[in-house]
Amino acid sequence: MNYLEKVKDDYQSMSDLVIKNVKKINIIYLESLSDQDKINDYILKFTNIHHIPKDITKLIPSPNVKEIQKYEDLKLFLEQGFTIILNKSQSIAIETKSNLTRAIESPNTEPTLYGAKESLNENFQTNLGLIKRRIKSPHLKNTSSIVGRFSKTMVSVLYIDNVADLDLVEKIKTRIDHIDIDGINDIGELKQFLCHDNKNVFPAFRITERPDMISKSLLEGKIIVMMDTSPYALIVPTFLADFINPVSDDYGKNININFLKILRFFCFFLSIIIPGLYIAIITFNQETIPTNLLLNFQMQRKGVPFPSIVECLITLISCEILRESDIRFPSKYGSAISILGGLVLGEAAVSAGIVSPIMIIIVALTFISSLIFTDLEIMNGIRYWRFFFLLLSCFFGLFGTGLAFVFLLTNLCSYEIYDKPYFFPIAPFDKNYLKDTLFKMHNNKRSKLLSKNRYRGDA
Amino acid sequence: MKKLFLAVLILFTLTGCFNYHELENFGITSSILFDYEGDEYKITIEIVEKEEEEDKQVLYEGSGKTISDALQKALLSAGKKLSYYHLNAVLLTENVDIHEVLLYLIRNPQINNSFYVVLTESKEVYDNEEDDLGKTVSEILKATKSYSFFDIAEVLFDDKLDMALPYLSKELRIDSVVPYHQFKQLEKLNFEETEIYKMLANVNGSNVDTKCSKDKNFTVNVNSVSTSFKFEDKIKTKVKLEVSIAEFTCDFDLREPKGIDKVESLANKQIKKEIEEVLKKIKDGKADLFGLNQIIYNKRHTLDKSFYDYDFEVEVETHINKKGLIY
Repeated sequence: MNYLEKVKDDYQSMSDLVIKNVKKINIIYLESLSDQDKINDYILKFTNIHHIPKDITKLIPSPNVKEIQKYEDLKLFLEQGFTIILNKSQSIAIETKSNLTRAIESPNTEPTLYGAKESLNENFQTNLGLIKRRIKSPHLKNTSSIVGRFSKTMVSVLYIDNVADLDLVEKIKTRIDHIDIDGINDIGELKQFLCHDNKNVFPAFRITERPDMISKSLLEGKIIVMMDTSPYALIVPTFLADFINPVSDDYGKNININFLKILRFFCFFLSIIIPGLYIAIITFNQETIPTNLLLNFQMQRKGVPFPSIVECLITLISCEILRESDIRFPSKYGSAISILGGLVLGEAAVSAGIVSPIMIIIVALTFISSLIFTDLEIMNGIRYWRFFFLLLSCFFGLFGTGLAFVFLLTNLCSYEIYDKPYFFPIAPFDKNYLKDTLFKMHNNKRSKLLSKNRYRGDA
Repeated sequence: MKKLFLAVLILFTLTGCFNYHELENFGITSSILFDYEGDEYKITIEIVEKEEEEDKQVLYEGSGKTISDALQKALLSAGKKLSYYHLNAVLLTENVDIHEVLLYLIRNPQINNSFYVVLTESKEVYDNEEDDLGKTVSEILKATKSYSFFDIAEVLFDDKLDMALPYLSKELRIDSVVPYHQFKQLEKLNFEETEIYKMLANVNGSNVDTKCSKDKNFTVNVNSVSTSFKFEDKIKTKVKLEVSIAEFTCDFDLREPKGIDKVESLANKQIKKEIEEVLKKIKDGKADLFGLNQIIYNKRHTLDKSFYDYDFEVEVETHINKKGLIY
């Protein structure tokens, strides 16, 4: 059976398959993926000429013409939007992909005041272009593989070959090659295959949509995993310190940025600890706060019919519901939800005597502190620990808070992703990476853990 | 995972919620008054609550043969878990065995140690319209730089030391001090003597009134005082004072150096005289309020003679501050 018959057989009930026969040449393409103008310009125009030579590649003005060796290649090209030309002696694929992506927009999830206003989109080539505009070097390599039996999605690993740890690159590539699944839709899904550890609640990888963040990570010796159809990229390896370290920090003055960095680190713990600490203090360790403050707390608690822990859980859970609905609901209605939720939680719940005003303050402070992180996954991790702290504190008071803190530290210190410690650069300590993440100081060396090529420049 | 599960299970089943209290069932004790009358301890507990931005005082009383009995009865009438962590003041009447009360307080682990101990006449101090008497008393005592329970507790464990407690009048004034020897009450020091006692205890802020002729006098405020005791056959007391002149009706001219010298020497004499009187009183009562026995012991390594067997030698050095502002 020749290729034409096979195609007709395989793609029989497919409405967008077009097969044209012009002067004994078969032209096959999928209408939905191909650009009609390109097909006109590259292919149909030359069919008007009187004599068609044996080697038609010379006639075709398209920059991307591929020779087809086997039928599997033909299918792959066809499904990627190529137009297939079957001549008597020749089978070629010509790139006629239609532009099915949106334009480059400004970042939504990682907005900054200063810095580039470009973000990745669903087109891999565009994304690669955005990165290559930032790193113009032959050392920037990318190796691609196809993942998904049906989806056949292209997944690509980017690294700078003389900076990155090549063993790690190999590990990631092996992991990707071993993925056997019908299809993946987004990089978030791919993430699950790259790290199977489900015990730890903190995100194993950082996801970014900013090309400048990607370029910064590549220069640090990290590895980027990108995927066609996803406007995000994964940064491997990722440490906890990276989450409080947005790229915009690089665009400010050291001394001002350091203040913010300390604030963010403080907020991370604050957001986890506050509700537990409050419950521990008002139900167990009343001696730890000044008398006047205790009297205020006592006055506000009067008339609340529930124990403090129930009151705290009611407020926390209703805030979680509010947040979840705010994220899911279309943004046009979002403000209405916020006003309604804010009013119900803040004003009416207090007036109705369900919760005390101080509890609203505590929960608001908790949520505000957690909102400084742009990554949704780290917020979820924080929430898990917040409830853990609350549980131990409501049973054991400040002792429980201390106990939970020990658990948290143990958990963070023992977590490893691709043999890289998650609590780096604090444990194990690394001066160079610390200067880049938790503080911002002059640093001209890459971290030992990330790269063997440590010298960055004289600056 | 199994181990963790077991650990958590043990944690929740075998530990329980010791010390768990909801705030609304919690009585914040601000002061306790101990009284002893007719072979019974009478205890008044002052609890503060806040209502509509204002503090409200609630009193609970109980009496019993022992302190624990009396406290228990007071607790029953309160119907709340009382917390002593925020205790501001302990008030004692003169009938109470002070040693026993102090020991009771120090044995209680659920009590803070920064509250003040003060003597008073009777329960009537609570008749003053104060929202929070404990707090008021502690503020008065803080202002007069009195010692807190933490400092007094030392006396309980050191046989050589004695103590003095401030005396709170019905009108909430601290105008005298009661010295103790082996927890037995001695004669009260009156207002003027208290001022001198404060000076000897290195507390700033006392006033000394000095006569310069029959009907004319001047007063100095002590801005800073440094008193030291040394033992060399006698107990040498050296008091260095930085003072400022408050009232002045004498004839001599303060703008002249001579006048200043005269004021200084008159003040020296007066203060020396008063210190000697106070020291004599303390010596007669054998109350070691300033740790003198320890000073002697450090020098002689024996305590066959106590401080009251020696004579005192007092030296006062007054220095007037801010001379430019005097006229």
